Amino acid sequence: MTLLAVEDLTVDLPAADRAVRLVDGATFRLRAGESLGVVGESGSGKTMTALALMGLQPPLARVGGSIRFEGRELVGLDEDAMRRIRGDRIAMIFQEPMTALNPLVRVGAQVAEPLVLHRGMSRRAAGAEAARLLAHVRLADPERAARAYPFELSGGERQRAMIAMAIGCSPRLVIADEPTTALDVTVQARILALLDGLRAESGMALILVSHDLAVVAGHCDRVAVMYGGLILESGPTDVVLRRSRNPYTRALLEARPEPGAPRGARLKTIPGSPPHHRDVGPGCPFAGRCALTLDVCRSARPPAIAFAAGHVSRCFRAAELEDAA
Amino acid sequence: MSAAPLLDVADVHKAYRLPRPRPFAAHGFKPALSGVSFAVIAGRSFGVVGESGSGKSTLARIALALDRPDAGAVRLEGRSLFDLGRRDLRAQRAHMQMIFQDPFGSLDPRMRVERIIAEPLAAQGGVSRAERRARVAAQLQAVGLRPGDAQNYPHEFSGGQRQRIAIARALITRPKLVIADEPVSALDVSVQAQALNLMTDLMRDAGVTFLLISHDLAVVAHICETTAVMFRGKIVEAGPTAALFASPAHPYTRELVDATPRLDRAPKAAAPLSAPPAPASGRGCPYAPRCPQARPRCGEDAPALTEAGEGRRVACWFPLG
Repeated sequence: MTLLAVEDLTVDLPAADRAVRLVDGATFRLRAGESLGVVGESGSGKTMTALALMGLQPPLARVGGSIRFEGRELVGLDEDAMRRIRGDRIAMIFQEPMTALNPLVRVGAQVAEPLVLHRGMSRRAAGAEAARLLAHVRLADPERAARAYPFELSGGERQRAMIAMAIGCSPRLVIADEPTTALDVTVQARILALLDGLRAESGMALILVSHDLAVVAGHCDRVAVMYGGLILESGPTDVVLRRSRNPYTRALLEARPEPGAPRGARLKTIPGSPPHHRDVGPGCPFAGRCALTLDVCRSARPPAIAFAAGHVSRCFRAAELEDAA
Repeated sequence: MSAAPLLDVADVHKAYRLPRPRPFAAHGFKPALSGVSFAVIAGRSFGVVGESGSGKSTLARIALALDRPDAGAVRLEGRSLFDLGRRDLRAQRAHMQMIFQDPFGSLDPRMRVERIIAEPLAAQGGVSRAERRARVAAQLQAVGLRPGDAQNYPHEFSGGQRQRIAIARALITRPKLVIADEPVSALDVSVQAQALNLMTDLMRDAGVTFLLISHDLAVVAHICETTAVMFRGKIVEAGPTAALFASPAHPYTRELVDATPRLDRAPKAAAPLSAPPAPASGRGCPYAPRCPQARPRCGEDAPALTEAGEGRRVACWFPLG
């Protein structure tokens, strides 16, 4: 069953002279229990896409297109209705739990809050449930964590507390924006394993936003690669990674130093740097840096070309890019 | 070939004083480094990996003589940094430079690039203005920027370009040793490759040796011939980088390697449990509370870093085969 259907999503931010398009025509679907990785560099629009799904875009931003969640249109929904969905049916996990948690409120009370708000539980019942949730996210000492203030927990423990808060109301969709970027790799591996486990047992869907293709590769069924506000390629994870039909995805894969490669081997570089959204012209945002650029790439948005198994690439030359990666 | 290594860190200890828990109470101490020893040979870049709190950055500060160790010695080409007078230390510092993680925070936004890059030269003194200008222009070209960029301000550059400016500044005194603390982790992947290639070129063409501190095993493996793995202020394993990561002898190195996300294999199942709190006394092996292989001896007695053949050292009672 389709849980989330995003169709031609746009986010525009009014600027001095003209509106700047931060997300341009994002289209994807998510089924219950499925996980989608949204990968991109800074300024790619990945975080803005995630925020728009939650109705948390900046106040002046205009959201267009369609976001259907559990059959209901979220674009244009008023703030009251959105607030009832947010934290209940859709929950979000942020990169730095230290800034997302209230520093003056004990962790247990913060985890209990959505239960009081959305489930109408009494403070006492919600507190008991919070303790159960903190144990459920495998905090080593849940009672201590419940009584602690956020600063008394380690980075990994705080992120577990955030996850406990997010899953309290059994959301159908969890959006995690760089949930492990600030953490050590060993802690990252444990947090990602925890999210995998929660998804398997509850059937919630997960959108994992990350700059790290390898993180997404290990934990997502499907992946969407964003650049300059556009989803340049999307599809089943192994298809996108092994048979990419997009020059940007291919360049990203080749630019990474792989463990086991000879030391000092020349890495393939992508000339220049990611565009600022102000500078994205009418063509493909990757055109200036792409080795395969044609004249048409600079003047028109590349069309979304569909291949087998739900694999889509936005590139004029997608069909030429055979299974060479 | 000179006998002394480029950088020799010998049995360095450092503890930071914690704030008093209450007035007139004794200060507590948090050990940041306990008995760290290694040598960096000229021409062979050295990597230090470990998680936050392992003492990596304290080590960088001490290697640069920005901070004094409580015990132990740091020698640059055989000369002990902490026995030098201020003037001699300044002269020695010309041979070593630092690249920081954050290309935004480490460049003064009110200075033009020319002044930023020339600053180490100015601090050193004895270089004419004309020569300074010429060397800045040459250095900009060496890191792939245009000489004309010298007149711009940091905010006019992208993150990758700013890190190049920081690298140009580090190299202007033609140092032999560059200490780089997470030099590429703030950069986008598409830009990271440019910086790593630049570092490779500098090792080959400018004779620079890096002491590279990073949490990213792939980055360290790409640059460094030798690597030390740190955990809670101690080196737990060291040796040739490729062998170290291909067949870790210390269970912590194994955990790091397994936890590193890779495109070519599914993630190794990590225990979803959060790490239990560290034990109060530091008698045993610091990794024992987390170690899947721990036996009773590990909790009672800390293993020393000992030779394990083929240039490898490991601090473990029961190294992996």
